[in-house]
Amino acid sequence: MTHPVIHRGLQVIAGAERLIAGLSVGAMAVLLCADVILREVAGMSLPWAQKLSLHFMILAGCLGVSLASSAAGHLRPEVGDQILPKRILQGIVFLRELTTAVFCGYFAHIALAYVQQSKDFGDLNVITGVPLWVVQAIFPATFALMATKHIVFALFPSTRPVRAGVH
Amino acid sequence: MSLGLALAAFLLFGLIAGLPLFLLMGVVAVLCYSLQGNAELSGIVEDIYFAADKEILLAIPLFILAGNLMTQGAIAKRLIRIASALTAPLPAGLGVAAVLSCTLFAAISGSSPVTLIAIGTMMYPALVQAGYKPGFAVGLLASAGTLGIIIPPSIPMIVYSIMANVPVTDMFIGGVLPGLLLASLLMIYAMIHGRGMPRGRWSGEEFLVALKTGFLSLVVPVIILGGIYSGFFTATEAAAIAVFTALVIELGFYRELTVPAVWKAMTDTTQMLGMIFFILLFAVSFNKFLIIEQVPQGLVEDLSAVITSKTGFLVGVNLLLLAAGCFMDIMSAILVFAPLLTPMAVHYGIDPVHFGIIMIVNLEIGYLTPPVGINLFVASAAFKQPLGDVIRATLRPMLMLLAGLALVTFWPALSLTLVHLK
Repeated sequence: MTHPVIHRGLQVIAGAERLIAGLSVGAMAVLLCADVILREVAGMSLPWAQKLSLHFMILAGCLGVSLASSAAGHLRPEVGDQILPKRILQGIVFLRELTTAVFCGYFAHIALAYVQQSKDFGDLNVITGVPLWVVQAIFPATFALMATKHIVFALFPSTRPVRAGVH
Repeated sequence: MSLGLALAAFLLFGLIAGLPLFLLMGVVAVLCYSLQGNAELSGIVEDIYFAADKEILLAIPLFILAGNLMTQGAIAKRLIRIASALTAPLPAGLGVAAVLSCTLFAAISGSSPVTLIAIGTMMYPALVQAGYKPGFAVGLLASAGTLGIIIPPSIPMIVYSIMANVPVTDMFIGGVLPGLLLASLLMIYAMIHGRGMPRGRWSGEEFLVALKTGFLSLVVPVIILGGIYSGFFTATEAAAIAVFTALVIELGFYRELTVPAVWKAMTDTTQMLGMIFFILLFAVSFNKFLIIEQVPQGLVEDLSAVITSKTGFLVGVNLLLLAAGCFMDIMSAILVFAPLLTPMAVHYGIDPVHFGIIMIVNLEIGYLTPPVGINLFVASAAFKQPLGDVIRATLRPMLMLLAGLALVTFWPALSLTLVHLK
């Protein structure tokens, strides 16, 4: 039995990720289209458009990775699912979720250290003027979100998503 | 316990437990950094950030988005109508139309499952209703859907070009003739297998109406491929233009695409991107390690001692990639094999673009080979057919694709003529 708050929390996180990632994809598409169209039609271009689009893509990509966790959409070997007996498989799935959570937590830790270094050095993107750590901060955030999700999936089996199927 | 043993044990556990591929790649990257005696593990994050900060990567989500938009809208339907009108008088004309529709849609979409869903969901009921056996229809559509990644634009080609350091426009241009060859072989298969089916009659009027209502759908591939081929757009810009034209045509002219459907296409895109994003970034980091450690060069030297001829290498590579296609999804296979095999191919005098096309065709066939042939699962789910029946149904068309693979492998001009004409 899982507390409804946990289910709701996971839904809210996934909803927020979907919203931000979807808007980022939209922004990326608008910027790049505007750049090409302005160049071809008005003879002017937006020199920062591709770099800024890349920032949006990194944001969308990272949140997409976390969303894939919410939908059991990650590409993974499925040999074990087919050869292991169901009873053992339950234990294996627990270990899978736990291992994923531990390593995501570890990656969040080293990514945070990197972002801290980047902030200390004051690195800037020369074209957009955006401090790099602002863009890079999505990496530890994503890993931390995934670590949280997978620890919940490990501890509360009813929250585990069912594989979407088509990809 | 040595680091190598720890890595092997972890990979074995990961394989059995089904750990996400990005995590396996990430742990391998961490262990490789440790092997180098690099205490600053945050360098991995630097690697993945710089791997993500490449403009060419923008083309991947944009082509996914363009495909998703066109799947939700009316472009696929109009392409099917044109193809059906054009091929009506041929033996098994509707079957040929199915392949032609997939070919046309593949010139807009960069993904095989998307092509299969977009065309198949409309073509399958039409084929069955016209009297074609469900098995034939499923096999033909699942096979023709694979054309999505060989006919440019192609997301796996973008990934190959990143991993093998080959211009993506060369890959796109190189894929045109092999893609048309494979499409032709599948059309021949359809005509031979469905020769008993009653032929339709050519109707100039229907063709003109189909062309008039679907003309804009044909404009999309012309703009994308024409722009890339003429050097007018880069691959990334072509992807942006694909999204723009898809939106203008769907929202401004066909008006079957709704705003919620556009939003769904955008959120689906993020999830599809998320499935490959970290795998790609960690693979680039791992690739850097391989280059620093001169692993590809070592493999080239070892392999040259065993395989002395170019033909032997090509046969071996095809067998390896066909086997890999059975057990790995296409992205993972490209990320793992492209950095290792491309230097070997160059050593044997094979152009990296030609080699990339060989790799894509091999892995395209992998979409149809169990246990992880994605098109088999998509076709089984979309057409509500048992998986075993789908597998059996794809065997004959797959033979045609294998014949095409042999031609692509041993006839380099097929992949390189247009590239050299550029």
